[in-house]
Amino acid sequence: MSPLVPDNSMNNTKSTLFILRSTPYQGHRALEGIEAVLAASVFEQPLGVLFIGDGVWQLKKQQQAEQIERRNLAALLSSFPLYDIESVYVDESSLEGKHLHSNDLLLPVSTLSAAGMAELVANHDTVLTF
Amino acid sequence: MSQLHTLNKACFEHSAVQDCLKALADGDALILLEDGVYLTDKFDSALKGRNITLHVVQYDAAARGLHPQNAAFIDARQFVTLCCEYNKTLSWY
Amino acid sequence: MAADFDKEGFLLDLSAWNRDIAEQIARSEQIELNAAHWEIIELARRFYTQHEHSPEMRPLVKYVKQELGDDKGNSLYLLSLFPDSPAKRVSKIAGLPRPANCL
Repeated sequence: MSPLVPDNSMNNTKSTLFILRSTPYQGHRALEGIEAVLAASVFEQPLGVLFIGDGVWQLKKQQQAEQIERRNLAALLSSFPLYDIESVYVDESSLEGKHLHSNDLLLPVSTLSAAGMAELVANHDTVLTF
Repeated sequence: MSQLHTLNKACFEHSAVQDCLKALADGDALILLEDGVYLTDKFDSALKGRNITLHVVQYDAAARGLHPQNAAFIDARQFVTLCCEYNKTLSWY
Repeated sequence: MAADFDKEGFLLDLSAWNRDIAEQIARSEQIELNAAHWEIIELARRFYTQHEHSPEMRPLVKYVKQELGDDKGNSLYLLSLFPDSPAKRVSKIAGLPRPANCL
């Protein structure tokens, strides 16, 4: 399981946590968030992504976005490992509330309790929410 | 007089959802569309025992990777037909 | 070949792409396509189909490494085939959109 503390072993690194809380296809907030994550990964600084609330729906497998003529966010998210984005977290109560399990999700995730999320936020220099 | 309601919000605690629940009367119908499809199971439970028909827009569910069991799916044409069949359509957003 | 390109030479209508057009674009980039080039072009197109965006350098290198092994999955190999900016050049020749974060 990925550690909650980002690797700040190099000097002058700034770690960023992205909190994604929007449903995938209502407006464009979710897409903006994912694009921001991919853009940030270029800088090779420690990066974490937390899916919470409605945001966990972004990870749902089998999305057929072509049915509503939208860009498939699942397709974008599935590229995270290729960008070395491996610190992916999900709020466990958000999953439970939606009757979702880790095997419904398209990425390997670490599930967190409320305390775990507070620690995650504290351990990152910058937090951006989408 | 039966009314048709539509709902497009994903969060059950959202005021649009709660207001819609209060406004639903026996004989009415409810269409879940866009993000509203995420609430299919919750509404199935909430409307048990009531004479309210629940419809779910199929392409919105498929787009989101949802395949709820026993959902009464409708397509675009059926959506329009329903709107014409009812006296009024109340959109909750 | 009546295909339209933008100012940088990226195909405007992605559905118009075919191998002849790829050769045409490659020629304008002073690249003669051989089997090694095509192997990478096909991988980039597969990446695009799977992930709905054009691969930038890092994910491209990692993807090539995953699919073709360490010998080819490194920047030097890709630079030898597609000089200067491999990710941008590969996407152009493969008929894909310009990668989002290419400088």
